[in-house]
Amino acid sequence: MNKPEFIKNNLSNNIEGKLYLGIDVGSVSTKCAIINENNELLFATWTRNDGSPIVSTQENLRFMEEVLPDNIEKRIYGVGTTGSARYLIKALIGADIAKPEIIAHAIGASTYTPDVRTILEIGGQDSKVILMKNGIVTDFNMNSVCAAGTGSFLDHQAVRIKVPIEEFGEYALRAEEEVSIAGRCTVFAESDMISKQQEGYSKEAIIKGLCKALVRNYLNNVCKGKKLFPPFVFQGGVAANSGIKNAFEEELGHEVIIHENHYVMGAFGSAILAKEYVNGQVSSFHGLKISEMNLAPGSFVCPDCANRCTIKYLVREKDKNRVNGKEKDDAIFARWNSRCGKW
Amino acid sequence: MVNVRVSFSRLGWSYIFFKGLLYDLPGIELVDPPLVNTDIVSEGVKNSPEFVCFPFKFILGEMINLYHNYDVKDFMMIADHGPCRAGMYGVVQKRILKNIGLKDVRMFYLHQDDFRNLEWLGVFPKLEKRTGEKFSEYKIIRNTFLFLAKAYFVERITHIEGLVRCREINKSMTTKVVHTLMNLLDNENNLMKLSNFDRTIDEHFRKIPIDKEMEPLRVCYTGEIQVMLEKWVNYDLMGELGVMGIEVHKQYDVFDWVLYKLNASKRRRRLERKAKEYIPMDIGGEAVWNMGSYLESQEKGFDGFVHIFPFTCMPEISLMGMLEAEKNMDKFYMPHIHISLDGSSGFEGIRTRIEAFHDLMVGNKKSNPIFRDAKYVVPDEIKNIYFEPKSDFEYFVSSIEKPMSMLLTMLKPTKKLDLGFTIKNGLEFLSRNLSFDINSLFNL
Repeated sequence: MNKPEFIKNNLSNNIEGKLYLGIDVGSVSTKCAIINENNELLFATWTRNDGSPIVSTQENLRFMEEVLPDNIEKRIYGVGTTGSARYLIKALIGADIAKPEIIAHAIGASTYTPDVRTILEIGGQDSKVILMKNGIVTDFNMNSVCAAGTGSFLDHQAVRIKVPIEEFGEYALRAEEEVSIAGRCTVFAESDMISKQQEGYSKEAIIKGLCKALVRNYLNNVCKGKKLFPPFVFQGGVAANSGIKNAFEEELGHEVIIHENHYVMGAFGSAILAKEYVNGQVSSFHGLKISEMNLAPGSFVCPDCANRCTIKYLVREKDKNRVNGKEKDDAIFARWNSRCGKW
Repeated sequence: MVNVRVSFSRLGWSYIFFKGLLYDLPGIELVDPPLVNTDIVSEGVKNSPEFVCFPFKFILGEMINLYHNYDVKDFMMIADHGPCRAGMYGVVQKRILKNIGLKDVRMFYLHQDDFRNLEWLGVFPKLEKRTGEKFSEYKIIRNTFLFLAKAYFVERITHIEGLVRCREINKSMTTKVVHTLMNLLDNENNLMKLSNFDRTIDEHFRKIPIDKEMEPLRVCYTGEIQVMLEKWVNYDLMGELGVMGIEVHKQYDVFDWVLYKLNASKRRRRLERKAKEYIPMDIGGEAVWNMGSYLESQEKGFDGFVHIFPFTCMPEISLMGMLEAEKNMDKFYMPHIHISLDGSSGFEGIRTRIEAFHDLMVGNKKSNPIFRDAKYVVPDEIKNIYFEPKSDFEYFVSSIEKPMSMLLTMLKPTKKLDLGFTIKNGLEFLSRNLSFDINSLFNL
């Protein structure tokens, strides 16, 4: 199990006011952020997911319980979730609101750079471009059928050529020669890289070529001829890679802003959304005690009407065998995803 | 004499009117195609070429499933010479089925190139030969009308469904009503009673309690026709949008397509005229009409355009390219989302996109003057059901009006009809029971 890492910790006992928690459960990592009423980021963590989003969320919450002051649980007035597992985690921790990551990222970025027009976001498994005007999303696009050029791909290549992913950017900046690598497809890129290695190019040059190919692919596949206006903000996990940032600046011919908290921008945005949504009412947050429970997800198809919704549920691990969908049981922790609201 | 078991692809509700076409013919036993599910699709995908459009794959899967589990060896498929490769799917599917060992499969092709040239009548002599029975002309004409009437009502029900769902107060009531209506329609085979089915539809929808003051967001929902029909494939996106509180204007169903092939669809002619500047001809899929409906709904002040198509559907991808092009940004200002479907069961990615699209539309409605000031008009169907119920006379008028306008449109054809071919097909059909071979006349 990967231990959660700090990104920021400005919380202490003597901070006053209400606090809001945002959780971004992505495909590769889980991020938590705590903000205060003035939209200031006070605390942030980052964990690599090892398969289960539930376990990594619990790990994060347990970590928060350890390091944070004791009374923090009572001071959280609203919780928002985002990312691909947002409904699961919403059910798990009793969050107030689950919003797609596109909106969360847009809110997060426009809080730091109010006049932002283009947000470039490359995450673990998806890449997206968000166009904004006067703080409102006007258009967005996500990669549709291809994951070439996302964080997972870089991760995989880093393992293959034995360069730690954290040093990817430095390697790219050190490169002295130029190599062209096919970025259209992960498989093609990989075979290109192998042959370039055999031709004797240095690791640095290949990594630089890879960064450029990735950016080219992103601009063709995700931006698809949309008109991009500055200022640009680049966020998501891949933004830590300075090689990609350089390649973007070369292609766009303009400075690309990367905020220091780009990792947790989704979680930060969803905390702000939660703050706006709760607006003084009581939060449905279950508290940090969730981290102690042993929960398992499951699903069945509701037979009662023609919608055939796939009902998803969470049960305590020890009671898992007793659930068959029809009966209402104490063991069931939460159920959601029905159209009619029955479950 | 053992009855021949015949079936077809389900395509959402379309099986209802295909059953109408073969209703009460001697020697034929109709089998209801089962709902599409993951097993059927994966079976089809396994046996299909890799880059064929997705409809090919799931229809093939349905056929394999029907063969193994329902003992059906005779299938009806459409055939076409249009610009879209979908026209030749039946032929290729038959070969694939033979190659995987289902040797005794028979296909009956419904030629839909142009319904006016009567080539489609050829399906009946072939069925007669298969069953060894004679079908009377009366039954064939009656079944043709059954087909048209049922197709019309299926289109109407699904269209109203999209408009009503966002207003319903008790969740999932609309779905239940739609299923009741489809059951009624499936079991009603009396043409006289069917002519009054419009009223039944309105009465059933009137039972749903709705929020009458609501002014929901309006979305034009369109795409390639086969993925629009099959709910399993498109994750019932229409219902999903409806539950979010969006009024869905569904654009096409099979009836509209049949009208187009009869050269009787006023609506498609209008859309073609609108789209002419961008797509001057039918390039396959529904690309021309989708472009037309984009422009039309943009004029009406809709809030968004949801476009679904199978992965690798070339015509629809061309349309997407046009809408997304940088130089057209000012002309196509209404937000649009394009979803390509390939039978993966991961709905989460699509949900993320449509939720974000919903938020985008809400933001637009609040702040963008183009959408904020657009006047909301209650659709006619909703008005007729809930606000100003039609009188008996109006029902009567509308039941006459629709076929009449169809006929009038047909009298002003935009496409030329091959009259000699039509006469040959007609004579061939009429003389099918005679010993005299009509083809010898044409070969002179």
